[in-house]
Amino acid sequence: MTAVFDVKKLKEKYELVLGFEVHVELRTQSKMFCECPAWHFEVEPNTNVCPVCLGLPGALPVPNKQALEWTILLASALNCKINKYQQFDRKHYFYPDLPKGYQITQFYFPAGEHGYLEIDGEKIRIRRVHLEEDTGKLIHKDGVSMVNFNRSGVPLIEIVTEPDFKTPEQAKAFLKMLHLIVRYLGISDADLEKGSMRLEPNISVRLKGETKLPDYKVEVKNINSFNFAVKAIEYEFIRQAKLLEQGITPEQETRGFDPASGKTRAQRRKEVATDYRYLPDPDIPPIKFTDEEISKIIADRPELPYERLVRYLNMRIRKDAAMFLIFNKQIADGFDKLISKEKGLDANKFAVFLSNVPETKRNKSVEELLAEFKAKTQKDTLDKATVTKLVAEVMAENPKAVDDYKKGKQNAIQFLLGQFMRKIRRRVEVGPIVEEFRKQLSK
Amino acid sequence: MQNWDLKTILAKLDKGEISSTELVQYYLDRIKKTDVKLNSFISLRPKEEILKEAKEADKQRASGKVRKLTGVPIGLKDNFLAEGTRTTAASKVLDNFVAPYDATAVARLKNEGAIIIGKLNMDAWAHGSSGENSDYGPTRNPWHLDYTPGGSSSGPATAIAADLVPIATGTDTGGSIRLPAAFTGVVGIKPTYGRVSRYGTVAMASSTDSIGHFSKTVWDNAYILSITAGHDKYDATTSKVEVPPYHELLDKLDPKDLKVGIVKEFFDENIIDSVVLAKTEQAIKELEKKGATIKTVSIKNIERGLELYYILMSAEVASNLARYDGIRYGNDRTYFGQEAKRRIMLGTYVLSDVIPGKGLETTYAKVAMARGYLQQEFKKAFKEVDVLLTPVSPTLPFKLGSKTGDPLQMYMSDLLTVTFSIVGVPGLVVPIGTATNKENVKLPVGIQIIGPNFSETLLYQVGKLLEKPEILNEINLT
Ligand SMILES: [Zn+2]
Repeated sequence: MTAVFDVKKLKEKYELVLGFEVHVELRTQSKMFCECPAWHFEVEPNTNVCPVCLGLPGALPVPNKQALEWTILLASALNCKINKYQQFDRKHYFYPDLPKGYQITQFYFPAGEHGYLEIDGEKIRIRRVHLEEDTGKLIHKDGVSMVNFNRSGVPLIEIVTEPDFKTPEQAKAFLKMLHLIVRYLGISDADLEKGSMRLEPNISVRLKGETKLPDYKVEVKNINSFNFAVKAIEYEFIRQAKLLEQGITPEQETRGFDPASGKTRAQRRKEVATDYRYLPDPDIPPIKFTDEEISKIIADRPELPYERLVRYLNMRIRKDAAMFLIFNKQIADGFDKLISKEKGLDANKFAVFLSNVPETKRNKSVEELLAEFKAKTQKDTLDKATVTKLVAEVMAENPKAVDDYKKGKQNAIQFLLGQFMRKIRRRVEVGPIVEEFRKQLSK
Repeated sequence: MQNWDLKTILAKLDKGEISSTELVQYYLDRIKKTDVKLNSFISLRPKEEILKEAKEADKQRASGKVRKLTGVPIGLKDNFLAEGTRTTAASKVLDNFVAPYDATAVARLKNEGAIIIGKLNMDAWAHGSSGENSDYGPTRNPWHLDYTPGGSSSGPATAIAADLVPIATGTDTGGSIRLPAAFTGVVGIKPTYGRVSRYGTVAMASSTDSIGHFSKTVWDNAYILSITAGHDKYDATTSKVEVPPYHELLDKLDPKDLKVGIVKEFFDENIIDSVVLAKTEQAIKELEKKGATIKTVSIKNIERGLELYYILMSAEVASNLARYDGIRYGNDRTYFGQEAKRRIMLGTYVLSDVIPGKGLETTYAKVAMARGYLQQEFKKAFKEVDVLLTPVSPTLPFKLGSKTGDPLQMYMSDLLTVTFSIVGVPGLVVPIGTATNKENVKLPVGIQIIGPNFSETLLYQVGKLLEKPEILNEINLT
């Protein structure tokens, strides 16, 4: 017999416990531990490979300095404490796409720890930011399983949050900001479709008011958009709440998200730390950074989206327009350039104008858009003699309206003004014109 | 048996007294004749290729283009990858594995013109002290075929002693060069950890694996190390410390300036056979006669080295053998032998102790800390003395089969070598004479010279004062 549940009641009774693991593939020149190119999209399978990333006997890993620095950069952007002492560890498990039988990662001494990212005034705590290597890719075709090792050893940053999210929407806002930060830093394509950024929610459910973390969690994989993340979380919440309602503790496991059905499916049991038999990698001496080295890496950091947002808000730019700008970096860069150049340009109005530019016109340069903005909003002032002359002309051409005004019909001046505008076919300051009309009409 | 050392060979080649082709032919003939008994080679390279390279070397020599090893034949322990050679590490797991690239040490030797003759026998994966763990049969000691040549570099040591090649490479993780060098009466160096690149050698225990060499004399050994040592961008654990021309500095030591330490804990009659002890003490006396100061030193907890080693080593072995899954190359894991399985299980047990957030409280981490402590003890000792002298093995070479049933007894053969491996310091073994065992078999005895990190120059200088390479002429292989 299938139990019937009232979803609304489940939502009232239970609450979501949600954290994220996000993987970001770095776009360094070479892989994490060898000299092979890190770029692996649209490349002939198994051509970007060498003894190291194929796990051949005798091959040894040599860490990529750029990747280490970029990890520090991202960790600092996420307000983490940067570890001066970093170490690589071996995480053991067997899988055909893992050629060494272990993945090299930073388990005991990650690049960064204890950070946070503020989303709409609420702090989402970052547990750790660490560097590791990607695995190869399994391809199942015509009943055959094949491995492509082009991706094997590509540098990968993992960001782990605390289970601080209250709603799927908050998680989405966080993920979008994280994505933006990575793009601003220029360290990854962070392409969700291609998998250079991967979102893995850790979801569990507990009774509302409960403060203890549930003793299980479900990790969901194969999510390639922010909206799918929301869907997967919503689906899991209901699925787990239903189980709890029946007195069943959900399995600790890894599930896959199916975009077509919007459902998740069990993939495998989730391992615990001891199963991985972590070992400090004896092939890689610990990496020790000095305070100066870390400061130097962080000093080169470009302005971050949330820093830019604060700057815009301080410039009294409306929040929605400011958000538009930070999410459209190219436009914002142009905006910043023009704002500093064009004296007297109303930053807020221009920002709002830009945020309202339809999608079809977004490819225009900000300079072009500025011209449009000016044409639309700025008004010429006509010289006094022209105004006097044109007012007299309009009055002569419209004696009835002049008459009406003189009889006390105040509205008539609007009609005359309209005629004036038709004559000049431009946007001009109306104040001086109205004044001139009044002056001449009262004669 | 011509028993020429490398120095002699280089001189003869230089003077044109012998060609590389003749030289190579001599060794190939000798291998063909004697290796049926000794089993020191697992694979030989095709004869035509070797002779072609020898001819090419002769041509180069004739045209004046001479490198450090032009036309010199060498043998490689079978855990060295050399492009195009079958590389098994003496395990059936890699029975059909042909190396697609050169190990750094191999590349450096080839760059100097060396000709690889073949790949030498060893304990599978370098696990063992007698060569008996080889999946390709044990190697026999040229001093007496019933005896082990020691391991794990059983093939390289035997090949040098039996004059099958003048130079051979080896690896030493806990004594795998030093023990067989002593058991066969040749010179073997385990350099400082990180002195020679490990890139391209089948890893055993990465934190102690050291690449070294076998030769008939100290000069030969120093000459080879000056070629292979040095920083390698493919091995992050190699050192940038400068490599001196070791062989040119051999006579630069006045024995009167030398302070020699005798490790008290290792000169214990309860541990060391009396014949070995007597021979070692005699060598030390000779050194004293030459003017060296001899001093007894004590190194706290030195005897704990063996247990620390077996924990660290098994953990790293289990990890390093994880890649042999038979998917990309080689055979599957059912092909692992007894000893490899034993160490994988031990190591997996050690590594199962993972404490998230408490990286310093795992067994491995505690042992690593104890290792740091031992290193400090050694630093103290080296403030008092320049080098330490110890026996290499508690016993003379033992009979094949005598310890295979008792792994713990076998592990004890490493007692005097493993501690230095954990500490990372270099060790040189040179032959100091022969002794006769209870069964009236004459066998060689070596001595181990230990110095601080990167003191290879000093070790070779002391080795030069102690070595008795002429004992190799006493080998009677019929
Ligand atoms: Zn590679």
